[in-house]
Amino acid sequence: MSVLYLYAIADPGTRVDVMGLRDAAVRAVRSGGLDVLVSEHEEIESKADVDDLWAHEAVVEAAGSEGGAVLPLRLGCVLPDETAVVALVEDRAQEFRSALDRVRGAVEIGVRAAVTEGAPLPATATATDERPGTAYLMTRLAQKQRGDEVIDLVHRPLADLAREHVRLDRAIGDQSSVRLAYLVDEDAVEPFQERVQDLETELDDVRLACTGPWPPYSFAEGRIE
Amino acid sequence: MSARDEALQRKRAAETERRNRVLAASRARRDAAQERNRANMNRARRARQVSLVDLVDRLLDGGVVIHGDITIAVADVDLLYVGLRALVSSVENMEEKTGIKMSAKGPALGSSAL
Repeated sequence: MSVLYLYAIADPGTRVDVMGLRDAAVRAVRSGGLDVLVSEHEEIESKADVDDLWAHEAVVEAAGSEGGAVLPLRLGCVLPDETAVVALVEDRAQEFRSALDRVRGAVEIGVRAAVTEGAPLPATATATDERPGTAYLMTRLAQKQRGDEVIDLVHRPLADLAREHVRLDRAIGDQSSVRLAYLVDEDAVEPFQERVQDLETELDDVRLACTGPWPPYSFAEGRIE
Repeated sequence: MSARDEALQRKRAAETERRNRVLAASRARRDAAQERNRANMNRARRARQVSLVDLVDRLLDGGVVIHGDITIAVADVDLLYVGLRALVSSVENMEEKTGIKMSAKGPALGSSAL
């Protein structure tokens, strides 16, 4: 029995000219005035690898390059047949339509910010040689305070250039870096990226990494009020 | 050896020297180009790693969630996460050492208008 793998929900008429997961053809299932992009698979292994991630991403990006709005689905959504896809959209048509309106004309940019370890510390944090434990805690506290300041210094000017923003809490790797996602109008992407570069130049003790533009994964569901 | 032969020999020596200089210059240019290529490739690889981390974050944590009958097993995806954890800290360390800014997306996605 074959199944359908789902990539994205998009404005009607969205065409995709790339192959999907495991080189399967991608087609649109129309329901409730929306297109759901799917590919058909005889069976789908439950094991996802890095190629699957890029394949999913490539389909979502191709759909987004058509000019219409696209809501990316989370990796791994599978339904048994077209009837189930149609039913899904019928159940949640209103939600999907307003979600599409929310991201229309915008892309997501990811920013990772971290304070470097050589950050300048206030004198109070360094002048207690006799009590190394206290000195250590003071140092950590100063670093944390600087981290909070930096989030403010980096985030405020960037938020001004974005429609919406969200802080991504599930941090992998170095816990000292803060991850933020911004929903940015397509024509504001360049000014936004330039601002990130300027900020990195201005703030000596901060490392900034900027990735994207991405499809609006972090703004596809659950609006933060 | 006649004066003419000497002159000829000097001329040949001068030509050889010039040829060697030209060759050395072109070798230096080639080496520099290779060095640049290597640097670019390393940068692209690191940029792609950073992008991959961001991609995993988005694909596994973002996007519309549906409750389908069958989903790709999350257990495997969690393993992928564990593998990436080591990768991310090494990328971030590299970034610190090299001062190279990571702001490129994966090369596979270069043609997209997004």
